Amino acid sequence: MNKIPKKNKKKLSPIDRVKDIFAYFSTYLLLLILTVAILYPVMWILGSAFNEGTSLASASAIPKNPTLNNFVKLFKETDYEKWYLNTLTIAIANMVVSVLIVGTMGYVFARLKFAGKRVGLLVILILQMFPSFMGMIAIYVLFLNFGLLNQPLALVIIYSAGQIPYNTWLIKGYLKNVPISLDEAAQIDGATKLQTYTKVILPVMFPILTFVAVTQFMAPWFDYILPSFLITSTEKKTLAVGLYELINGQANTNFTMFAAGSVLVAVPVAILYLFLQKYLIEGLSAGANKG
Amino acid sequence: MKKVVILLLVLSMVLSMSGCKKEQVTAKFADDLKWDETKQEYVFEKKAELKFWADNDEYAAKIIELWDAKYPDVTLSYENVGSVDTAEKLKLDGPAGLGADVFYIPHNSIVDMRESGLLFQLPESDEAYIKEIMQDSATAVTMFEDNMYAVPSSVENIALVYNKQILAALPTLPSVLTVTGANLLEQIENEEIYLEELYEGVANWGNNFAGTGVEIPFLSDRFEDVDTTAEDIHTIFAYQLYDAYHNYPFLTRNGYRVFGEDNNDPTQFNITSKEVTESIKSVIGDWYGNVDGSKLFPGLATIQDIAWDQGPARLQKGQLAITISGPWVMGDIKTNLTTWAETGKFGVTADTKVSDLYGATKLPRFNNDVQPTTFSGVQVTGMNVYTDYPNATMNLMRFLASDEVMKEVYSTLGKIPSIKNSDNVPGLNEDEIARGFLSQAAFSHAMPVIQEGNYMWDPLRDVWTNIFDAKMSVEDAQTRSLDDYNKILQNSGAEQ
Amino acid sequence: MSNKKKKKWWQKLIGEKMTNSGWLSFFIFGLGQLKNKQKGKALILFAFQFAYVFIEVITSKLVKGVIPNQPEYWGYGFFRKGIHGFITLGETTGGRFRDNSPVMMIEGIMVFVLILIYIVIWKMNIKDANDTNLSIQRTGIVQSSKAFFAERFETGFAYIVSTPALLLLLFVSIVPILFAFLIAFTNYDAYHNPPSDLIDWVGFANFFKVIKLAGWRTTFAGVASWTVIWAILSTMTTFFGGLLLAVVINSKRVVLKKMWRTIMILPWAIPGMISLLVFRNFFNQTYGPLNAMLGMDIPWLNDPIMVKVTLVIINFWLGVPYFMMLMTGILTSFDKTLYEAATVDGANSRQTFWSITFPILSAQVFPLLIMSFAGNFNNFGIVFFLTGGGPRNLAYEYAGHSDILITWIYNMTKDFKMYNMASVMSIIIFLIIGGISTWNFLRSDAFKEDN
Repeated sequence: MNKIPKKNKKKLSPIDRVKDIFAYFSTYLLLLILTVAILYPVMWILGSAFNEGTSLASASAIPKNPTLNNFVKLFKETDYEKWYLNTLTIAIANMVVSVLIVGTMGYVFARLKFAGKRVGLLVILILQMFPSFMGMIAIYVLFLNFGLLNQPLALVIIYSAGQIPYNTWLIKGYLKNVPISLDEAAQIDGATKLQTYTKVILPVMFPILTFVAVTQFMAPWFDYILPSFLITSTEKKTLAVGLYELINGQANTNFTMFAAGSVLVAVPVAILYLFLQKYLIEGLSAGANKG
Repeated sequence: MKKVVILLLVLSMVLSMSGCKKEQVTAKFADDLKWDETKQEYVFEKKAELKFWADNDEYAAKIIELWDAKYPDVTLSYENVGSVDTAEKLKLDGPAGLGADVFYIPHNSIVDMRESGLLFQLPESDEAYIKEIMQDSATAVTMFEDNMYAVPSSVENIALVYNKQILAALPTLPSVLTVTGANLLEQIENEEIYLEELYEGVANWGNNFAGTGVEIPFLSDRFEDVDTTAEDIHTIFAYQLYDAYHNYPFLTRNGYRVFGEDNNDPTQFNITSKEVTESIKSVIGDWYGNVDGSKLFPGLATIQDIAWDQGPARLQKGQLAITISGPWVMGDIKTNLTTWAETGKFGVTADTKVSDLYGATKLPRFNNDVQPTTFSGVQVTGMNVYTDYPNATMNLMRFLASDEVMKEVYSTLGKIPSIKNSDNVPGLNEDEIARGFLSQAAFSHAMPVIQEGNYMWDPLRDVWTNIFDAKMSVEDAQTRSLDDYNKILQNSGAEQ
Repeated sequence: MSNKKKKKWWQKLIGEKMTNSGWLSFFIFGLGQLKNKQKGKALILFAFQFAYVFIEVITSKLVKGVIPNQPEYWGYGFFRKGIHGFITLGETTGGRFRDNSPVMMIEGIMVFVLILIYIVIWKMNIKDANDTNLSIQRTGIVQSSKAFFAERFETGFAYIVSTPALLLLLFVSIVPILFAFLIAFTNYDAYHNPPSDLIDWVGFANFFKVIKLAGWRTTFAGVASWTVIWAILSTMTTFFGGLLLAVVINSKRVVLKKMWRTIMILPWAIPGMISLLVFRNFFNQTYGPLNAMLGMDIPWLNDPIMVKVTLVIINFWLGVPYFMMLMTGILTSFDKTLYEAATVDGANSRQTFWSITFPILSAQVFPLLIMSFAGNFNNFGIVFFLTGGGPRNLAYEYAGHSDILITWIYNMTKDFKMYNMASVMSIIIFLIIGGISTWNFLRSDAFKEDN
């Protein structure tokens, strides 16, 4: 890779200065436009959670009589806390399991040479593109046979397994930017492959693993189809299923409550992202590269 | 690679085989049942535990409370499963032994579940008992080849639902009938207007409040911003246009019934009959002059915009005067009434009843004095064939048809119980709104319970879409619907 | 054995030649290893075989007992019953105890997969017995099981650590796909309702039927071309949008980076279903607040062309945060000096970006783009919740203007229960999407570098 020679930043001609101001201006203008485009619908979604009545059809962004009723009802009349906790458990388990599996797989497929590697992952990845609703029945029978039906573990298995190929490619791509000299140095020092992985590569992968962690954490909050098939007992119900029941069926039209419950989901995700950003952005890889 | 080849060989061998000999193994369920004459109930299995599926937590809690009071020794538990999802879920959960013993389903799920062999066939004695206490029209949908497969719980149908405050403020519309009512509300309640005339009158007002020239009471309560025309549109009469369930009545003016007189003859789809032509032509009538705009109500919403939630949502916010909908719209209104009483919206006080603000009645007659026919739906309870405790489950089925449960069906769910003697449900006979829906129920027939009943919905709906959206003539639209229906039949493998 | 250098196919499978140890292991797993005095290894291999036999026995009628009048095959063990069930798809109907064809098929597929694993282990077991035996004959040294495993862990590290993941994938991903695939060769439709009715293998009959139906060709061509356009547009817009956002926020000029990023992430954090339900009303032509605000009458969801534009816009809103997050993460792995040079140098930043950053970045995310393409190709939720396929298209069967292939298939299965036909369509769609993706993958740098 070519290095671009750094220009001296101190000497700015007036034209450059104008250009600079213009660049500032356009950058912030762009950000502002995008913020409006993003926040305006978000406001509507938020607003609908504070609307009176139960329908979204005539809800408004800034309700005339904003009410907390939907939130109050959510906690009083449903097992929202329980659903939330159940889902949180699954989300965290899924996050941990995924990071463990995918991190290793990413390392193996990016760094090690072995027969069948190229084709193996490609085949699975392509097969996963098979469009079908029928597969659900197979998953049901599968878990029935392994005694995992009605176990939250079943969901963790599915969520983490389903994303293995995608995330492996993701990490593999990421590791391409990490010089192979790091591995070689470690191996010359006599490190085994496992040691190379845990001591050298794992720290470098931190930003991308954080990304995987966040995305995998998200999965259980949105999905209602799988848990509604695989989890039957009320005790183990996940949030998406519980919320969906509020709007499923002719008599159940608590759309505003549904909105309230959904909005509360965004909170931990946004916080998690805010918190993990520093790992995601100021990753350790930059430091590693400088050496 | 070789393994793949071998596997493929095996597969292709297997796939080329077909048609094996089938044998029947039957384990009769009725043999398991033991009736106790003195207690008038089935003999509970030892350690019986029961589970039922419904989609309303509050109702389920009440049921369990009542059950525990009556049968304290038998545990009854509940899981929330949407009644329309039950069929698919039980196909998996049933054989796996995880299904509920009893579940609530809409009656049109009976076909699918019966065909899949998931429904327990009721013994003749129970069949007789259920027929004795339940309405004939409700039990009819549970029967197949003289056997009963489910027990009716509640019935529902659509009717004309309206906001009394608004209609009372509106002037009467021109009618060939003698109009004694002082305003539109009285005119409709006294049945002094034909359906066609109502449409025409509303269309002449432009179907919005502004066009009536009358001051609508509490208008500022109804809209965030009264000046925004976008908010103040299409507010006199709106219902779900893009839907066969709501549009079917308008095909029935000249006697059309889908699938014949008993609604279950697969050879009698008859969508191209001249009765349908006449009915459609009469309904869309002279006032329908805006083919290019493809609007049912000229200058107003396109068909797709009035989705299932728009009508009810606007009605319950007081933004719509008349809609066509089912009893479920009242649930929301009841909830809103408490909020309104707190803020004094629409002049609502703590004493205001729902029936002071809203009313329901049968659809206005066609101008040939025929009452429109609506579909009715029956909510039924079904019994899982795979139950471990058939006796206990039969007791639960009977319990769910008892008067004490029927009271909850009415008071908690707000549904109309399907029992013959409405006196047994307190408050039902005095309920003006329930009576309104019941008045249309007399002119309803159950949705078909044959396989073809699942195929009819799109073609029935699209007769209207073909006219309004595709700008077809009425006759072309009918032919097109028939074509669509035949294609579905053919594609679904019916010719085999 | 004439040519010593070139191994015959069976030598690749079981080692140089069949030894006594090999023959022992041929019949009983680990017995050859025991003879080779490697007890630990022998025990593990034997335990594996024992598990299979144990399952077969414990699930058979020898242990479970019989129901009166039950057909003979109900008493078979798990594996034999699985294969039998897969071939026949059930023989008894009616009553409470009866065959459930789809379940039998799935169990059969599972059994096939398990047997495949069995064969692989069997082969490894024989080869190991032979190799070890020959090595002992040559050198006279017996490697302890412990030393063997330590060595294998290093040499076969890649295989060993990816085995759990592969097993998971095999069962959770591949088995369901095989089932969905095989449905196309059955008569599983509205007139064959398991568990009451049995379904049967019908060979390629469904494929012939699809070819014969002219109406489906029109629908397929129309829906498929829109699906491809949709998948390309939605992938490209979200990718470039996300990249732009990531680069802009990363730039030195922007302060409060964290705040901006967190704002931009919101559409992704809010569950998609509620967003789509709100959008459905938001874009309603007659009642929607958007038209009211704009003071216009745009048929967002009602016009055949406009609905497609709207879908892409909404997908952009939903999908950009993900790509922004991804790009932000990936950009950090870039050589800092490169990146700084690109951003500091205002005049050249654009060129630098396009000539250096972008090519590396795109090569790196190319596989992800293909996957994202495939994901959008099968993006059920957005079409289903937003438009339900509408507006109606008179020329199509069971599909509207905005329907994509996956929602079309859904319509077939849900209302009309044409499971077999839907599966045929799935296969055809899969051949297209899989073909495009494989072709792209094989061409991509990401793949080529892996030699």
